Amino acid sequence: MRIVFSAMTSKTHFYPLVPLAWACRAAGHEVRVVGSPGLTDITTAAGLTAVPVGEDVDLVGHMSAVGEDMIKYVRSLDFTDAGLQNAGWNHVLGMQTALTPNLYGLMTPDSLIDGMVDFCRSWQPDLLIWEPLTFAAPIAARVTGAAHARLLWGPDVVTKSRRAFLDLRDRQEPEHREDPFAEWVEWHLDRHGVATGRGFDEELATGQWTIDPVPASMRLDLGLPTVGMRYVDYNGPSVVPEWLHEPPARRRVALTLGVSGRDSGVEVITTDQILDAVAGIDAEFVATLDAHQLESVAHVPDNVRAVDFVPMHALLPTCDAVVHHGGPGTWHTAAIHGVPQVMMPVGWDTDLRARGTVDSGMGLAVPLAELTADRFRESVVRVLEEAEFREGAAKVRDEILSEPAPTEVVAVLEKMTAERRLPRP
Amino acid sequence: MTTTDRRRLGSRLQMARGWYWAFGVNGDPYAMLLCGQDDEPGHWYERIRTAGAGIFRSRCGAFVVTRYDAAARILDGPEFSRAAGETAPDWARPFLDLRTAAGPPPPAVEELVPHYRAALPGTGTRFDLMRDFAREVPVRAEAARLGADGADAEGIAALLRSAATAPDARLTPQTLAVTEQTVAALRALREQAGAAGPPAAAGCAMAANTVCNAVLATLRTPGLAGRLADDPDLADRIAAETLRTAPPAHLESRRATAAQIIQGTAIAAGDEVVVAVAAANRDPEVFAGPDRFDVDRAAAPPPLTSGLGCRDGLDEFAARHAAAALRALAGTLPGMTRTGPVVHRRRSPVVRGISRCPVEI
Repeated sequence: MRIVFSAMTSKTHFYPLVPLAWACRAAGHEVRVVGSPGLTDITTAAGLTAVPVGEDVDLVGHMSAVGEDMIKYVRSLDFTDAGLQNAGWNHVLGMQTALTPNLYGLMTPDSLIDGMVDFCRSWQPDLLIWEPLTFAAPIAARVTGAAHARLLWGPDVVTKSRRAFLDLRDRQEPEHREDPFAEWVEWHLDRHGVATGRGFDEELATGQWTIDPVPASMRLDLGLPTVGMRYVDYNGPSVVPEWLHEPPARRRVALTLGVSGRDSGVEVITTDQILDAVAGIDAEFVATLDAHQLESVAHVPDNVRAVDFVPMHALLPTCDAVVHHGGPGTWHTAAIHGVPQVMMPVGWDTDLRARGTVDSGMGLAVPLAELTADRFRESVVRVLEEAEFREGAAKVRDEILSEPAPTEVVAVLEKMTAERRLPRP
Repeated sequence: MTTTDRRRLGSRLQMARGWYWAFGVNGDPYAMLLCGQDDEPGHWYERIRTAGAGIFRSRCGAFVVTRYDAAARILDGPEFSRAAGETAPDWARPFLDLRTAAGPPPPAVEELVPHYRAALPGTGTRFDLMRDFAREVPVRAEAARLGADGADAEGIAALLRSAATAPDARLTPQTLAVTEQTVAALRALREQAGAAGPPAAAGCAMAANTVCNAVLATLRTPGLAGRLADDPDLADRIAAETLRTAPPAHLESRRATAAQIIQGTAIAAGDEVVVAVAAANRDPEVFAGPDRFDVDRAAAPPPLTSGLGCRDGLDEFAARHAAAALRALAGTLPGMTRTGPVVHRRRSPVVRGISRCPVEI
């Protein structure tokens, strides 16, 4: 088969595609990664073939115009069942209204859609696999008749919020039933000459099927055709530092500080306060701090080892706990190594991931609004000291390992593609 | 329009609306008002009014005035112009000159009354007050006037209906389909009826809603339909009170032509100042019981209108239609009941458009 993988220009969004892309390649399929030019180096560094198309997104311009407003808005969104059920029509329509141009359309610029369509018309892929915010792929698949599937990297909040929107839309007066997302996709389909009757449907929002690396017990039940896949860690080009060869002399905790008071928009504790909070705990803390972050730190406690970068899949197997802001890469890498976690969720899907972390017994979560130095220290100590968290983390690890590996998923993709791909002209 | 232009326009419309929505959720009441998701805008006016000392400045860029005295000064003074600045967003440009030409001459009420009588179905019928009555009379009258030289009156009537969202599209983004429809209708009106075409479309939209609002207020206010039946001359006072409580244009955008201080706030030349006419007309410091529909108000100042200081006659046009419709309905309203909910258009912060208003006589 010919398979296109596609992601927006973001390592967080691209890395989860890499193991499956390699599995397809190793099974003898042809693989191309189609993205904006900014994705090229990230793609080739993963040993995959890049097809850069269009122009990069002017994120700086957008962020300086309305970035803080959008961050504040997105942080206000509540994707939990209670949050969406209580929200009402204006809230769920608002998500479609604000996110379609400012997130979906922004990260899938017109030039990416055009380039993706042009490339697919020429290369004629059988299947496109896309991360859930890169809607150029389903549009190009619909235009060219290829099969297409989403590969999730976390709780499917995009579909969940869209379902809530669709449910309430049907109860509105006919004059009020607008759909900004469908409107956006439709004008692209129209531009690329998709015949009436093959226009927008929900498949363009969800993919024909969904490949889901989230542990089955934490998946959102949205009734979509889903193929479970074992999460395999890819953290980018990785070099294992020499100090990591030695077994740790005492308990070890990985600390990645994705959260800073500057960009969170809420009052949170500083890096200094976090480091002070762990001083004196009987464990070695490996803190990933870049030069800029280190500059702002007055004092690094004796039990903290500051490192610029260390691959999480090399570090975490040596750790007794990990403390992080809830990003999917760190969370999944810790989960497959059975490492208990302390999460500081920062909105979007991280709140749901935090809930799964707590409910499964694999760790604790401290919402930003409740984050204090004392609460932080107490959570870290509990996760280190209480054996239940290790047991909870081990259960989730076993659950993930019971899913088929990417190599086994390839055969499923072959079968589903044969059933769904339109015959070539 | 090429498909590339279409999606560029679509993106600009969606982006602006997405921003307004996020600003609104983050606490900007004017941004939420522009999104136009509510049937009743009063609570947004109240939040703008109480947002703080001085004039409220929205994250959307405009200063928003809700006090009667400041509103009157801006509308009627020489320091503000209706001409949009060069900073107006590109999606609004097709609509900027909507009210720069003179509007249709306000017709005499007594000439309009027979048209409204003729549009009224017989007793025992259900009909839609907006679609079958309030919208049709102004549209047909204007189509006949604009088409007096032999142009296709039916065609012009259809264009006037199609351009009804233009006053709203000037201030808040519509969907791509509605925008395209409105732009095309305005262009065709200009071709077929000249410069008088677009203001006539705005006038028809304003008149239709004012007629509907006047009738609904009469039905809602205890005893008023009976009083009107006994005294059809009351129609003028009902129309005037409708102009205060539900003005034909709720929002009027002006540009400062010189730097100045208003209500303690420094306004620079070129700044956009939006007068929330409907809010100023309910200024509690000027009108006692401002939310009460009261045709017997004594010694109240005149309600402000969007055309004050830039008289294109559209507010007067709408008021005459309302007075004429009430006179035509005077004997009928005591027997009229609503048979379903009034459905308000979304994205309609200016004319607060009504889509449907089912009634029965």
